Amino acid sequence: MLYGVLVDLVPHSKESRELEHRWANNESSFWASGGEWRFVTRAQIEARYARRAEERERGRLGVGFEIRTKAGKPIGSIGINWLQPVHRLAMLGAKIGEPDYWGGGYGTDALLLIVEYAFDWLDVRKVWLMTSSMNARVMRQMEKVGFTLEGRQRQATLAEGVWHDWLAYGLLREEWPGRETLVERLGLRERAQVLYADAESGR
Amino acid sequence: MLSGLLVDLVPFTREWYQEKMYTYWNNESRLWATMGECMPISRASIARIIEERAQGRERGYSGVHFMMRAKDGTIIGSIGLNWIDYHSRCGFLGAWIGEEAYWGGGYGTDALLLVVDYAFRWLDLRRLALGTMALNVRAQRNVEKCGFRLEGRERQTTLVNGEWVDALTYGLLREEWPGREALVEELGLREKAAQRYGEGA
Repeated sequence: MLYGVLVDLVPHSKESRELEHRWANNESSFWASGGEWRFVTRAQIEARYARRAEERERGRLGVGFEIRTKAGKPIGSIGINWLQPVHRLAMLGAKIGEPDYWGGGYGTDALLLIVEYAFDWLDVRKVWLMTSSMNARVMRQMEKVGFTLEGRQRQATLAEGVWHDWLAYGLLREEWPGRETLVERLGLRERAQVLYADAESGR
Repeated sequence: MLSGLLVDLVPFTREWYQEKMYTYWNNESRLWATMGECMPISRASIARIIEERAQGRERGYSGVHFMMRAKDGTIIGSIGLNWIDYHSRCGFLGAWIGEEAYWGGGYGTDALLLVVDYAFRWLDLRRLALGTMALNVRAQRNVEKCGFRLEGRERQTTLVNGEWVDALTYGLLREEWPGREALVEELGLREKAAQRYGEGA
């Protein structure tokens, strides 16, 4: 379990497995996939989990966490979708399934945790991820956290009749100032005080 | 079969899988056909790959691959679409020239023109993408000549003989493609073929 300021990253619970069906079919999956608008059944989700487990057995490395707010609510998932052991390269993926929690810093806090975990525990030397050119929130987040825009695949995805680009972002270990520095710089602690003040005063 | 000027693209044979794939995977060509990977492979692993490919096709795997055969009859490598995303009509290209004697002779360019033409005019794709490592100057020249644009430089993604090397990604949109015939002219492939195989070719 990885402890953050606004969220913790915990093993997937039964609860979040249940919620995945909602998350996979609401707008969050559009943003998380970079512009896909597809719908999945519970059976398809189960099959996806089974396939992933099978791939892991065959040696595909990766790790997935549930994102849980400090108030104990599962709001999404984040992880290393794919870890290339030879080149120590980790591809990240994340989804905040509950729209109420978008733009609140939860995703940023979770991102800092997973990046720190990749660098400090898994000895990864580069993390990268992709998003679409529609996703201004993630683009801003990437800049704030220090990722570099490394690629723009032109017109790679169609959304609502318009072609959008795919963007690739990368962050090398030597560019990472450390989680603590970023928590400070991005004011996450202050945000936590505001967000969880009610809960704390109620305790 | 797709017929070019220096090469033809033909279906795979069992012999290719069992012999050529083993040879290519274990010679230096592997370095250039991949992002600088260097790992030996056994015949047993190849048998497993063949099995997995067959299973993949049953499950709807969308790739299309050809053997690359020079006009002199020699099988020199393979080329194809490793993966097609039919939702966004985007294809990901891969190519491999396993016979060193055929490097730099225009064979790869001719094969690439054939596959691009096939992807746009028969498969109705609208975008093609491919990647290579920064060390592979020949591949970069090749794809740039054919109109691909450099879209990304993913820094230090692969360790090659002690050196961290960038991955380059290229893309080509259908509207940017002048057509195979125009590029055959522009790149002088007909003259090259005439020189190599005689005017009758």
